[in-house]
Amino acid sequence: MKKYIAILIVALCTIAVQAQDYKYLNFVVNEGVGRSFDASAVSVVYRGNDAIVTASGETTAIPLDSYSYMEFSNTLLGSGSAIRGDVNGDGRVDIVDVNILINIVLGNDTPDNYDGRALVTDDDKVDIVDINAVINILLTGH
Amino acid sequence: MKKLILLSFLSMVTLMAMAGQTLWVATGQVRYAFDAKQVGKMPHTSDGVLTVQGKSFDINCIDSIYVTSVAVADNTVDVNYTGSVATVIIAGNIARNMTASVNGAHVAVMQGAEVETEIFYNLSGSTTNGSFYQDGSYKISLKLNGLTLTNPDSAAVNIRDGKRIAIELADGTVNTLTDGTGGGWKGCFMVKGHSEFKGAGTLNLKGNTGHAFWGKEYVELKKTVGTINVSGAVGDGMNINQYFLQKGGKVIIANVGDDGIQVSKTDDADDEDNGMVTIAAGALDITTTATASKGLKAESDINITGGNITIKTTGNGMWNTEKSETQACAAIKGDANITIGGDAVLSLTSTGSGGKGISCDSVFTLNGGNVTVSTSGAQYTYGTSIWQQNTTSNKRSSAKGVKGDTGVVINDGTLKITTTGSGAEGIESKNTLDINGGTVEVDAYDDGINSTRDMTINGGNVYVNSTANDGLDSNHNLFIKGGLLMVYGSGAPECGLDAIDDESRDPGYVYVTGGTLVAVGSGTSYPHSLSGTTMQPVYVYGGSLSQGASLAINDSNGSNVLAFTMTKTLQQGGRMAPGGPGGPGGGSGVTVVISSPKIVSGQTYTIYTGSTLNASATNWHSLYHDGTAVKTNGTSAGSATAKTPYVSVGNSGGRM
Repeated sequence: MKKYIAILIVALCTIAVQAQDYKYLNFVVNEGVGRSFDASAVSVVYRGNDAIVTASGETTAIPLDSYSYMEFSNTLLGSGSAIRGDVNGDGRVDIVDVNILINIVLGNDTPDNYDGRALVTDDDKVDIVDINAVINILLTGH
Repeated sequence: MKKLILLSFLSMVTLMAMAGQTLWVATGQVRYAFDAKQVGKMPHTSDGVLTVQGKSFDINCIDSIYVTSVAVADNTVDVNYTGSVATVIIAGNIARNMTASVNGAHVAVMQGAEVETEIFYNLSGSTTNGSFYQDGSYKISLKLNGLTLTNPDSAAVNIRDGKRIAIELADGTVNTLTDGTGGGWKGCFMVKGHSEFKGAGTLNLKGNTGHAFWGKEYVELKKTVGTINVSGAVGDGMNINQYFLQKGGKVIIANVGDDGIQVSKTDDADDEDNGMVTIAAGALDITTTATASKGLKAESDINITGGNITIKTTGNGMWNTEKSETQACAAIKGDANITIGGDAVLSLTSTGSGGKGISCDSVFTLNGGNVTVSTSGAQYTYGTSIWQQNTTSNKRSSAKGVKGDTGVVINDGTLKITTTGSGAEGIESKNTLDINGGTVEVDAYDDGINSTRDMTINGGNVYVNSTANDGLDSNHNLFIKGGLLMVYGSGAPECGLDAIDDESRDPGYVYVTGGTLVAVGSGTSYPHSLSGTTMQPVYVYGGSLSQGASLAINDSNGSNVLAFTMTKTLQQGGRMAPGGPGGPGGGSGVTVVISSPKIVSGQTYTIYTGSTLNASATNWHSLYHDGTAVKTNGTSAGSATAKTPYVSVGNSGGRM
């Protein structure tokens, strides 16, 4: 009897792993950067130059030239934004994003308020390097 | 308890395995279903092309993309018809190699040459103006899953894929395909490749322009197949190239403008079983009404070893101007050999002029089974003037039960034939005819059994009755070597046994070396001796016997050898005999040929008439052959010492 149950539990777990759905449908800018949407309730239509993504009752317009590919994943993308440098997630990179990073570096704000979008560079901290990166985006476009 | 837990877990496991995350890309009436675990990265280009699992989409053609937890099996295409529209779902793993176009309810799916896996198509739903067209170069499965499809403009289903097409009639479903009128397409359901039918569902077909079903290559009906019902066709019910093989299922064909099932040879000499029909099991129920139509027709051999076959033709004969020959209906027509055996059961009927039960251009062989044939048509004659009618035989076509152009061989089984039209023979071989066993019962208007060359009876139980001609008629030799035979010819000038014994015409004779035989006619061809062969003694009795009268032959000890009761009074024969002493005309005058292994040369036997017999004793069509039937002998008609080739008693007539 114990053997029966043990075998069936293993089989059940194996199948469960295989049948596990992805959590997110990600619109990826580059590795680890982009926008994540709840895969269980997402739909996309194309209007003009935007992909209009509806998920969890919210609609987001993602410029087609702002992301490279879609993929299913269980990982929430780091920046939380489809646009690198868009710290506040308003869909554009501007001086407001620079000011936010300055405040974080000075200790007047915290990265936790920005869903990982403050981690502009590929490290685990927000510092002058991130500020310079955003200024570069403003000045050069990348 | 253990079983309950096991079943519960297995059910949960199954349910979990069926669930799957699917990315749907909807483009008009075509949707592509991609397994989320297979898609990987889905890039898009700056000029608006999205690529998913190798399939490129112009984003301007994408209506929407969405995700569900409904799994779609790999390698599948699902087509559902709903009135004036159809929707197509293509599995994502094959999408890159598939092109689908949908116009209302008309669907066309093309498989690219890169496809190297079997794709499963599922068709369902209903439309009165739709179609399904498929092309590809790899085998496919096509499931008809509750499909009602009418295409007024062309074939309802047209499969141009030239490979193996596994057609499944989904269990419990009824599928109906209908096309339009006046077009130029070959059939309502067309398959270019080789069709293999399975599934216990029903398929109804109606061909309003050509055939109901057209197959460019072979058609096989598997054991599991249900019913194919052709309710009508302008052409054939099923027009097939290469071969037709039936292992099960039922095919019903009616209201067709030509043949029921026609199988033609392909042009490829390497194609196996080219032009053949093989029926091992299942059922056929075919009715044809067209002039010179065939119920089942093959350009090569027909082999039937099982199944239940009922075929009826009602059309009349015709004159084929192009071929300068008459043509007539036949329930079964084979351009080569026809062989029937096993446990096959056949019921064949032809009612039109010249109509035949079985028409075989080579050798007809019966090895088993049960075959019943009935023809009632008169002779078909081309032309109205006597000159036209009698000038050449190719302007006449007689009805027949069974015809074999190069031979007839009966080894076993049961063959029962009835023909009622004038000129209709029971069995005809235009070459030799051999009966080696089995049961043969013939009631024919013309000759019961006729052969152009030697006729040989080695065994079997044979009953022959001819209304207006000879019982057994060989145009060369007639060898009776065994078996149990009760034979009736008709009145003058016809015979029970007739062999050509006119020396000016390639003479043939009757030779009796075995068997139990009673042959009755107005006259007979008399038995001859064959050098180097031990002949069996024969008595030839001439006298007066009408229906109900009995004759017995006893040995010198009074023991009965055999007896028989006349089951008819001879009617006037159908033609004038060429030369020879004529026997008595119609009425009670008869010539009876009697032989048995129990009759010993040199012994004396007495023939009695007016015998009373125990009718329930063992008999073969009132031929009582085990010596137990006689209750009273009756009146002695004469005694004679048995000798070979024969001895006469009474006043026998007929030929010499």
